[in-house]
Amino acid sequence: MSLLVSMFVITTSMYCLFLLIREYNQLVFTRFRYRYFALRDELALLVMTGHIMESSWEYQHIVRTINFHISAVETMSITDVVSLLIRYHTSEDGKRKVRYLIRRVDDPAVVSILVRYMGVTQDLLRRNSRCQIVMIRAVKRLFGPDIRQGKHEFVQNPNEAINAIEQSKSDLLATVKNDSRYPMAVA
Amino acid sequence: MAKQTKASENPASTRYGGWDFARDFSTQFFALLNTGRIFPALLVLLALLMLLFGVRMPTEELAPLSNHLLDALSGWTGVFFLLLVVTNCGWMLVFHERDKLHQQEIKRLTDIRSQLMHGGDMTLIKEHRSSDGEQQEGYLLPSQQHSSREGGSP
Repeated sequence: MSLLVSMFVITTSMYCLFLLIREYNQLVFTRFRYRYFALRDELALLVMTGHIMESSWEYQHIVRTINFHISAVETMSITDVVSLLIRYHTSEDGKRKVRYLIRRVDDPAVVSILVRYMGVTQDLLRRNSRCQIVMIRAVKRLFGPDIRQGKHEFVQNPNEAINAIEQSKSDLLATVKNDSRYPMAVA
Repeated sequence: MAKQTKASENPASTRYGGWDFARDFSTQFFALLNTGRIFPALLVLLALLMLLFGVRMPTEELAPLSNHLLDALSGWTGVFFLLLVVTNCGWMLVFHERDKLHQQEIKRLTDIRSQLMHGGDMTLIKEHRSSDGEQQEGYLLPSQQHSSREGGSP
């Protein structure tokens, strides 16, 4: 009898733990989704107030990019989202588009939205790949930083994507460094 | 009138019996579990077990059972009992956080609505752009765009 009770308690507690982790992850993803929704709405309001044209390449590209991130967060598992975003933010095509965007965008309000979008994506990557980042750092400490040179990539490194986004953010902020309107746009 | 006659002809079809209750109870109970509402489900389960023990067991067997349970709590199973309590408290916190998050989102949307209503001269956006697969990178995503996850894209 006591064995049966013990088995019941163990099974129920493990199931509860599993459900709790699942619920918590959904909550975290919902929080990221809402942050992306807010940025997209802010961008739409900029179009409505005439800061940016609806037909402009930059508006369409930014909306598409934010929608892409929302879709990823809505439809994919944590592992897939991390993997996809690392690929997206480290791809040559992605970097080229960001460079083009930086050259074209000069409105501080749009820059502010872009910087915050990049911040949300960095947070998303950091939050969902903590273990991966720690493990990679530990392995690099053990075997040296050049462990991957000339070899196949076994694990994607989220830090590469986070650093690439950080670089884009710095480049973007440099364009409005002397613009007195920028702090107003952020506020 | 015709309906009443039909019902009186077959009274078994309208009677709500024990099997119906059992079916509805199990459906609702699994709905609680499947939607992650483990706390109420656990309460229901515990109440049911206590009821079962209190009603069906002979009085003289209740004391040894209580001793068994106390022994189990003091042993290594106690850790799992504790885990059960902690996870349920955690679930309540998550539930509270989720509620707060939704309230914040509602407030944000209400503010935007007010801004749109009183914002004066505004240019209307011609094309609606949602996250439902119109983006170029859509080919990277899985095909199930309308997942069952709550709070989908507007």
